[in-house]
Amino acid sequence: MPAVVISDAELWSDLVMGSETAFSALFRKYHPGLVNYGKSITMHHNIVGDCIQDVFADIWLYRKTLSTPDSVRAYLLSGLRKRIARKLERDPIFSQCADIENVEFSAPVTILDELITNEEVRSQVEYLNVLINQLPPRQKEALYLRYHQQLSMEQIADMMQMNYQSVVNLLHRAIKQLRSVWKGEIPQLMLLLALLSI
Amino acid sequence: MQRNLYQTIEEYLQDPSFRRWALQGIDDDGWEQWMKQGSGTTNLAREAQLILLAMGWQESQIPEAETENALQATWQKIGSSGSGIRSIAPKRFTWLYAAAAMLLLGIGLGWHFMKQPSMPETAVEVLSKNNLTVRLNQTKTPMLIMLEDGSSVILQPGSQLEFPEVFDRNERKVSLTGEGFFEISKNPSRPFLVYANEVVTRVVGTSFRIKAYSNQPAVEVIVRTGQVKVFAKQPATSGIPQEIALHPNESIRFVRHDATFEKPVIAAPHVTGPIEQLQFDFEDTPVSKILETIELAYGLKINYPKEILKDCYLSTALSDLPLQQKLKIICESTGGETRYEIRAEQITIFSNGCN
Repeated sequence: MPAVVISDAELWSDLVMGSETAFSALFRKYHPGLVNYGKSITMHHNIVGDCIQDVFADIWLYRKTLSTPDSVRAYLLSGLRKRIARKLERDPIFSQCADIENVEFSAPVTILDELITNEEVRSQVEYLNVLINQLPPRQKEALYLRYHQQLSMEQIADMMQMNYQSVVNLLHRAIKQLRSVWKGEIPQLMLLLALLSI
Repeated sequence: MQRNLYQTIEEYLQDPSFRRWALQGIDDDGWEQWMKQGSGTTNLAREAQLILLAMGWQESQIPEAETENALQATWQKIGSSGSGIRSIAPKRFTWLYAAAAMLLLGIGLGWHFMKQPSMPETAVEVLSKNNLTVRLNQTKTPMLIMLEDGSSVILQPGSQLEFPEVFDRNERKVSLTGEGFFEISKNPSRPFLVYANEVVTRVVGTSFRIKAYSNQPAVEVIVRTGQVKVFAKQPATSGIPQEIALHPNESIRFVRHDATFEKPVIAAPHVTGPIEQLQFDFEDTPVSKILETIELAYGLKINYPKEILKDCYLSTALSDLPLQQKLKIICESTGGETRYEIRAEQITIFSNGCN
């Protein structure tokens, strides 16, 4: 293991120059995260691995014409999302059973149990978690990309093929909806907590 | 400080220092203290904290071997695309090239075996489709591999399995180096063949173990259930039967240096793994107990709603079935809306109770 951490930008520029080690290092670094992300946006888990390989193979093959991305991670996530969408769209078996949109963020969010020490906080977090999971998939995906992957608005816009302002609105709506239910409907909250504790 | 000027939850959600405190408990900027003020701003921050805690993502652990295999498969993809002329290797981490070279050697050997004249022609076809996956278990624990046809293989550490993404219409072929326990989904019109060193094992649907380490003098096939046929890849010297049929609990050794099979014997328990020794026929057994048995047999973790399933009992016979079919039957017999999901080697059972 190298003691010095080599930055993504450095690895990328080595890769463009034809360094296989840089390519492999980036692959090793991002493969696990991409598998997780891929599986959260399609139920066809068997195609995810193949799509990741395609994304990386293209990077290598077209490295001389690629521009340097601001964030390698955002570039890879975005590349994978598009690749999966295209694969599902083209394949007649998949497109038949697909809903309105082929790529749908379906992973459930979970509470960060180990960080919660207080029971009152726990019950609130559990309730919020239910609410977040009930958000429409696109809102949930935007929240995930923004606050879990920590992508910028521009990067999310590119990924979800929306314009900048729409992403801002989407995220704002998600938080607003969350808060309005959370803050406004205490009786419901009590009911829900009662149900959860059965 | 800036935090006093924040007016929206979003500003907290994306503040790196706030995130470190809320998500990792690292309080560089005295958030804990600051939150105690109880002003409007800190209330917003409190909400942001709860939202972050409620919005975790389960990132499942991807085994290193999976990443390595995927990387190697990617290089193969690049190589086969024609335009991917690989440049001369540069400096850092040279061990990688050794690994890549080993893989190429492995593929070369596989190719060589497949081209043996005694082999049916279709074997070459499988390879020419260029959709072979190579999984090498570099971990210290057995690895579960699910095949496209619903069959499953438990691959021992240091062992390698090569299989196509999609099997041929008429035949299912894999090749093994090292040790694996196979549970093959039944399909008489599509026999399943395992190529392991000099031995080919042919079944239509059954379970068995093969030990074919390249540094061992013999190849062993140990049958758990069903009918298994073994034969030598190269038709050997005179007097030796071409094909030997094995029955449940029998094992056979193929001595490599003189290319002969020994007589089949009853398998000794020590040559097998936990999966062969466990009973899968259940009589009025709690579902949780059945799932524990599966966890033990396959070396897997199964997530399931313990509370909801605590009063559910099943009677079922699962011995002869691959993992996915076992799970399917458990879910179906539990009833209600019980179903299972396999995601990145994690099995989760969802249920709202039993009938």
